[in-house]
Amino acid sequence: MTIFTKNSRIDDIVDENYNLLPVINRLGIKLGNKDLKIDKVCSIQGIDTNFALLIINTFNNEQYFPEPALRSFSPIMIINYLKRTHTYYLDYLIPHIDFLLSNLIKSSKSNKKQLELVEKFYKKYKQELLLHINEEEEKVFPYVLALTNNTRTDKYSIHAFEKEHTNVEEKLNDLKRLLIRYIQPIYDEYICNEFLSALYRFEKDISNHARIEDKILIPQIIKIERGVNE
Amino acid sequence: MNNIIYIIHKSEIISKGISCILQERYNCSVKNYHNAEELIKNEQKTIHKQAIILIEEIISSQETFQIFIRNNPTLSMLKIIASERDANDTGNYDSISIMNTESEFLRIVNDLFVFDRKESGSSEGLTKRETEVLKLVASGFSNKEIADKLFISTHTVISHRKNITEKLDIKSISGLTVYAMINNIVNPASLSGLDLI
Repeated sequence: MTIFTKNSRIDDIVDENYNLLPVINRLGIKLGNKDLKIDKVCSIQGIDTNFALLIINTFNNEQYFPEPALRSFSPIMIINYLKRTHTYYLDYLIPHIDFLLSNLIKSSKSNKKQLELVEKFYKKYKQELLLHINEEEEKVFPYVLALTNNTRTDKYSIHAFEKEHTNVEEKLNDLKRLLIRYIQPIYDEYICNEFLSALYRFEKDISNHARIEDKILIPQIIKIERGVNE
Repeated sequence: MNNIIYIIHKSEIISKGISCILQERYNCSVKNYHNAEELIKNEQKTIHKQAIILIEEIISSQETFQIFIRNNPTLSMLKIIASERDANDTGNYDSISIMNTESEFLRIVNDLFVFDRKESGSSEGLTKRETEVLKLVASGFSNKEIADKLFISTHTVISHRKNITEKLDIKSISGLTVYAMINNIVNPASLSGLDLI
């Protein structure tokens, strides 16, 4: 697997894995920079090149996850990236999946019962996911920012938050599994493919997202909490 | 096959007709009732765990019966629909119409005998016991409650659940519930199942 460097062009990165496009967006990197190398593009747009490369490489390559390097960045930078990811989910990806599912159900001319069960399952999953994202935005992130400013007001601790991620990912896996194995295929196959593709993309993205939260942000916070308590 | 089948229908002619078809084809006992209260009163304590109930649609929506089904989730249920509605086509396995042909009817009923199928006749190579556990999981019972109902230990229940998850590759309870509903292991029409998802 390629590890991108300062000398990689945006083209090289996207050619290798076009699923990196949203990642590039979230870092704040815009397209249309001709064929400049990434460090040039980042410096023009005021983005930290090393951070950008770390995020891009960890997303592209599951085996690549240099924790010390990642933890060396300020939690604020990490949170900004995570917040942008939430925006991507809330403003684009989740509504997109909603739309595809609704089309899938409409495309079924005969018995819709099974797909309606799937829809029920998806809605419950979505509800849990939105709640989780909301808690991160309303509680966790502000808490982290307060910690880094030394303006911590309440007795919140990061430990409460840690275990949430597995449940959410489980259901996404189940959703895929149900469609691939068990649901009667009485719907438009092309629409189903689109829906499944979107689910796969979402799964990969959110798993990456969770990895950064669990392995980078939370340890950083625990460290700061310990520092503050001493 | 040693299933006991209960038919609850106001019409004796329909009850007896269905009873006749079933007994020709399966080795089973059939008991007829005119209404749900009679069945519940007589069979409350003795009803076989894996009995099948064929019930006139209107009666099935009565609250007493709904509660009865919820308290006995291992029972299978099939609604009998009146003649004005279209005969049931494939995919809808929770009801039959009296306008269905005999073979359509038998095909649908056949799926209800899931507990009697041996080896991998049950879905996805789930054993009979695993299917029973799945049914209870999908009905919302805790491990302890399942253990009590099946007279096994909680440890065994957990072990069964691990196997089920591994065979199906479905991890969440809601996911298992959807699977169970699709495969008629749990009645899609039962309230408890729908709430869980």
